[in-house]
Amino acid sequence: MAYMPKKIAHRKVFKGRIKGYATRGNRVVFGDYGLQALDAGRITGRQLEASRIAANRATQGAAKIWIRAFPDRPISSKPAETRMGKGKGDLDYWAAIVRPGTILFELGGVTEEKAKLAFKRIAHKMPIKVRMVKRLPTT
Amino acid sequence: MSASATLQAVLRDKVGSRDARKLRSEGRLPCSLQADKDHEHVNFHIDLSEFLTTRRAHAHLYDLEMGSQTQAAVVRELQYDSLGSGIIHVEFKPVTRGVATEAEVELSFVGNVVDGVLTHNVTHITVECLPSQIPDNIEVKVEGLTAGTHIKASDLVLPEGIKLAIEPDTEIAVVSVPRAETPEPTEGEEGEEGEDTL
Repeated sequence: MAYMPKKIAHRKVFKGRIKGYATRGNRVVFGDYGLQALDAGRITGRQLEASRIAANRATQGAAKIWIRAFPDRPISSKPAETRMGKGKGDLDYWAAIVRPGTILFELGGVTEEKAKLAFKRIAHKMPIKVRMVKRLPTT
Repeated sequence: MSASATLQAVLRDKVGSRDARKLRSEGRLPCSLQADKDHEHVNFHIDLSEFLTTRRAHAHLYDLEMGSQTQAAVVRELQYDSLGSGIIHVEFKPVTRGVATEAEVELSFVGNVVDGVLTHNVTHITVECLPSQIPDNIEVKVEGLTAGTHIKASDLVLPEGIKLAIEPDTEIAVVSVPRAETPEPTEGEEGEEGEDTL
């Protein structure tokens, strides 16, 4: 597993519900361009790693990539053909909980065309709708 | 940089998020005028499309017409909605014509570095100038820079009449040495590398 927390407080957590829009982590801060989530959902550690590799290949390693989402939520599942009951299933994978507006990736040091191509490649790996955004003027 | 723009401001008799939402639904934009030693804090609203038109015309100095009074002001802060697609609030800062003021100006990096990756430490700098001379952005030429080059605030070429209001030693950007690429795994073998993760 590439992306998972080093230390965990609870092995298993409730499923929960993803409500509302992102009020934090919703601005391009580090790079020049960002990839913004338009839906709520779970992004798995594998999806984030696959996206990073795809972006790296699209930019030939020339871009600086920031991954702004981290999979810190343990997701459990029961094995196939198991009767219900007997407690909660075992840990299956780690996921980042994403709300609409969250910036998932940022790119710097590349042209807009290259960034667009890299984000297009990333978008194919994502389970939710995303869009490319730029840094917003503050004044 | 352009001449000042005039905005018709209407004082807000009610404040709060519910009233602000109602104003936005009517095409108005809730605003506030920052208090300083000579001015009181004022809450008002302006026409959103009128404001956006002045933004497109690169206006930085505004004349806010509040009833019989007119106050010169510059934008201090813009607030956006969660998706960053619309302006939801503007905070103005009162200024006096002909008196220098501090303003945040965006940096625009022009050109491509030869080798390495350009990493900017700051994207805005504070400058001191007349309110009518606030530039749209300040160009930072990075064409042909090599890895290991540091750009400091003192290296910036500022337009006439504009002074730095930050420490000249402040590092603006650095061209970092590209990291040695390790061979990437083939398709289906993901998760093996992790050299430049978070």
